[in-house]
Amino acid sequence: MDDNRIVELFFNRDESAIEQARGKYGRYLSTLLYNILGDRDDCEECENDTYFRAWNSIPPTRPTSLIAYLSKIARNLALDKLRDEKKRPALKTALILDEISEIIPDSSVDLCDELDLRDIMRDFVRRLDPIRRKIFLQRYFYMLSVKEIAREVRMPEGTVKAQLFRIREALRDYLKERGIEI
Amino acid sequence: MKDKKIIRALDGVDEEFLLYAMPKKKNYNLTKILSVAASFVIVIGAVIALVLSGVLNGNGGGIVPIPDGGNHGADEGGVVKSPFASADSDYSSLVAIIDRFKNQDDSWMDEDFEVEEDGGVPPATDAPNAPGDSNVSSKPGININGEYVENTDNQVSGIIEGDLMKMTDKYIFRISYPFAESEKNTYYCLKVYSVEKENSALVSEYIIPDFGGRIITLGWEMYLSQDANVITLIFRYRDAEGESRTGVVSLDVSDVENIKETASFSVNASGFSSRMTDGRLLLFCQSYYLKSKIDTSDYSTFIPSVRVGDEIYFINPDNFVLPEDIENSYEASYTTVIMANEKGLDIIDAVSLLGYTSNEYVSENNLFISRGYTEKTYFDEVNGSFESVSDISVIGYSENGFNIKGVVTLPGTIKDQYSLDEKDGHLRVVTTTRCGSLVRPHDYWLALGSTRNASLYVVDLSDNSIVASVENFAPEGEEVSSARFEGDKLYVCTALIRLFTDPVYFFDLSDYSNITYTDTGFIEGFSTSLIDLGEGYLLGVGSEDSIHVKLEAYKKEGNSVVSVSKMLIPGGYSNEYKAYFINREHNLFGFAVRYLVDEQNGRYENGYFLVQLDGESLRVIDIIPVDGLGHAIVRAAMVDGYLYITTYLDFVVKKIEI
Repeated sequence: MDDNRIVELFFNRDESAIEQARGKYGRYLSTLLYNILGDRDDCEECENDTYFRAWNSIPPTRPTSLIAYLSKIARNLALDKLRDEKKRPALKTALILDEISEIIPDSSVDLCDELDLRDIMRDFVRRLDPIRRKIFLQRYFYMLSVKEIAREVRMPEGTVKAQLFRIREALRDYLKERGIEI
Repeated sequence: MKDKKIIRALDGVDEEFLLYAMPKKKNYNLTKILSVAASFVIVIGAVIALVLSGVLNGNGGGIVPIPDGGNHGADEGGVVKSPFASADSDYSSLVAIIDRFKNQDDSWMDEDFEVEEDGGVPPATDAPNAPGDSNVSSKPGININGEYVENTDNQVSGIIEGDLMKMTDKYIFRISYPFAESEKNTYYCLKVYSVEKENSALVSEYIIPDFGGRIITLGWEMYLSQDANVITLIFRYRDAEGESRTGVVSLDVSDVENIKETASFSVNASGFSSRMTDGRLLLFCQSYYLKSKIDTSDYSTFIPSVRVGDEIYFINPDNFVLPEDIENSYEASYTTVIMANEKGLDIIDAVSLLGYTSNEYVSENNLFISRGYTEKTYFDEVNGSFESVSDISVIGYSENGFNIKGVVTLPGTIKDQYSLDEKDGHLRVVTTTRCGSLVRPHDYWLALGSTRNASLYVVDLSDNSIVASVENFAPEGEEVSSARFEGDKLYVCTALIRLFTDPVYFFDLSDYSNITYTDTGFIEGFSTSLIDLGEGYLLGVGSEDSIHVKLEAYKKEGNSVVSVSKMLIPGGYSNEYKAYFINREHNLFGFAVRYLVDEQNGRYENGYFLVQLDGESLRVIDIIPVDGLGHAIVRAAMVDGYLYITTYLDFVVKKIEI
C-alpha cells in the first residue's frame, strides 16, 4: 500500500493504519532503533511508541514521506531513552557520538536552542553536495557504520572516513560562523 | 549531552534528503521484532491527539499578488524604475530557467559509482562573517560634534559593517541574550550601558520586536547612525507560519531611556549580511527554494519578496541577474540586495541574483557578489574535465539605486569578502583553483584526480578583462585560508589545512605588469585572519595544530617574509573577525579564548586575552575573566585607557596598563 493511502487511513482513524505502517516499515524501523539502542526489548518498546506517536500526530500532520516521518520519531524516542534512562547506547552509536563530540560546542550551544540548531543543521545539510550529504546522513541520522556506508556508496572505507572527517570539519566551521564553537 | 543535541537536530533535515540517503541494502543482521498485540492499537484510540509543529511545507501567508509599491530609483538613463514588480511584470525568463531546473535529470544522484580514494577538497563553504581589515585609525567612541567614530574594524573605510556592539563616547549599545520575562516568554533585547570607566552601568534595556514570530539567535547585525540617534537592527526570525525571514527594524535612540520603534520591513530569506554607507542600508539576503516545493504558477514558491506591514512585494523581474542554468542542486538559491534609507527604511531599490549564495564585497563604488560552480567539458561519451569557477556580478550603486554592470568569470572559488578588493578601476581577486578529470555518468567534482592551488587575478572593470594574474603560486594542493588587500599590498595565507602548514605571501601590486611576491616558506600552523598592524608588520590569527591557538607576527625582510614572534595558547578561539579587538595605535589585539589552565587535570577556562606586539615581541598584557563567553559574540573597545568588554551576559570594564 502506498504512503498516501496509509496516511489516509490515519486521517480516517482506521486502526489498520498501524498495521500497514508496521508491515511496510517495521523491519526498517527496528533496524534503525537497534543501531541506536542495541537491545531487542528497548527496540520493541520504541517501535511501539513510534506508531503510538504517529497515531497521535496524524492528523493534523500530513507527512509527505511516511518513512522519513516515522524515522524521525523513532530516532528521537531512542535518544530520549538513552538520556532518560541513562542507558549506554549501542557500541556503534557510542562511536558516532564520540565523533560528533569532537565538534560539539561547549557552553555556547546552550545559547542556541533546539529549534535554532535544527535550522542550522538543515541549512548545513542543504549545502552539501549529494554524495557527502548521503554519507553524512547515513552516519549521523541512520547510524550506519563506516563499513556499511562504504558498501552503500561503493567507496573504499578509507575514503568514507576521510569524507566524514572533512564534513565534520566543515560543520565545525559552519557552527563557528554562527557563534557556536568549541 | 550536547552531542545528542546535534544528532537530534538532524530531524529538521529536508525529507527528500533523508529519503535519498536511506540505506538500500540489508547490511546488518535484522532481528525480528514480535508484533504488538492488536489490543495496543485499541488503547491508542483513547489517547488525546497532539499537535506537532515543524517539518512540513508551508507557503508564506498574506500574499498580495504583485501590487505597484515601493520607492522608485532611477537608472543611469534617468528612467525611474521600481524595485518591485507591477501588475504587468514579465517573469518568463526566470520561469524558463526554473522550469529547466525542475525538469533536470537527477537520476545520476541515485546511481552507484566507483571512485578511487582521492585527495580532493571539501566543498567551499560560505563565510558570511569573514575577517577583514580597516583603514580606520581613529579611536572608537570619540565624541566629535556629537557623532561617533566606528568601533567595528571595517574592510573598507566608509562602508560600515553591522555588528553586535556600537558605541559613542557616552553609551555602548549591545545586542543581548534573551531577556526572560517568564519561563515561557524570552525576548532579545538591546542593552545600553554608560561609558563611565569604573562607574559604567546598565542604563536601559529595550525588548526587540519579533514580528509576531520567533527570533532566531544567530547572526545579528546592528548599525548606529552618524548622529547617534537611530539604531538599525537586522536579524533572522521565523514568522507565524514557521517560514524563515530576515527582519529589519529602525529604533529611535535619541533618548536612550525611551527607545521607540519607528519603521520595519522583512524579506523571505534565511540568511543575510549587510553594509551601511552614506545613510543607506545595503542588505544582502540569501533565499532558498526547494525544487520539490516550487510551483511556477505561484510566485511565492520561487521569487524573493519584501513584506512591509501587511503588504508583500515581489522583486521586479527587470532587476534579476540570471545565469544560463542552475544545476545539480535540490534548491533554487538567490542573493537579493535591497537598498533602503537608514532613517525611515524606505526601500530605494532591489536586485536579485539567481544561483548566487557565496560572498559579497562592497567597495566605494560597486557591489561584487560571487557565485561558485563547476564547469564541465566532455571530450567524448565517457571522459571529460572539470574546473571550479566563480562568476562575480558587478553592480554599481548610488543614491538612486543599483546599476547592473556585468559579470566577471574567474577560475577558482573565493573564500570570503577579503579575497576581493577594488582599487583605481581594477578588481583584484584571490581564488583557490581546482580542476581535474571526470568520468560519465558520475561526473561529480569528487572525481578521479584533481589539482588545487591559489591564484591572483586583476580585472579591468572598464571591460571586465583580466589584465594580470599570478596563477598557482602556492605549493600544489594548498588552498587560500586567508587574504588581505592593503592598497598596493596583498597578504595571503595558503594551507593544507589538515596538515597545519602555512606559507604566508606578501605581494607587491604597485605594477600589474610586474607583480612580485615573497613568502615565509612552510611554517607550522595556518592563519584564518591576517591583520595589517602597520609599519610593515602583519599579525596572523589561527591554529598551530589541533590544540593550540596561534598568534604570529610577520614582516618582510629583504626578499622573504619572516616570522618575528609567535605565541601559542593551548585552547580554542573564534575565527569571527568582528570578535577581535584591534588597536593599531598601541599594537594591541584582543580576543576570547577557551584556554588550558590546569594541564594535569585538563581544566579549561574562558578568558579575554589582550596581547601587544611590543617592538618585535608578542606579549600578554592581561587575561580578563568574562562570563557568558561564546567566542564569536564577544566585543570590546578601548576608550581613554579603559577596555570595555561585552558578551550576551556580561559587561566588564578594565583599566589597561600598557
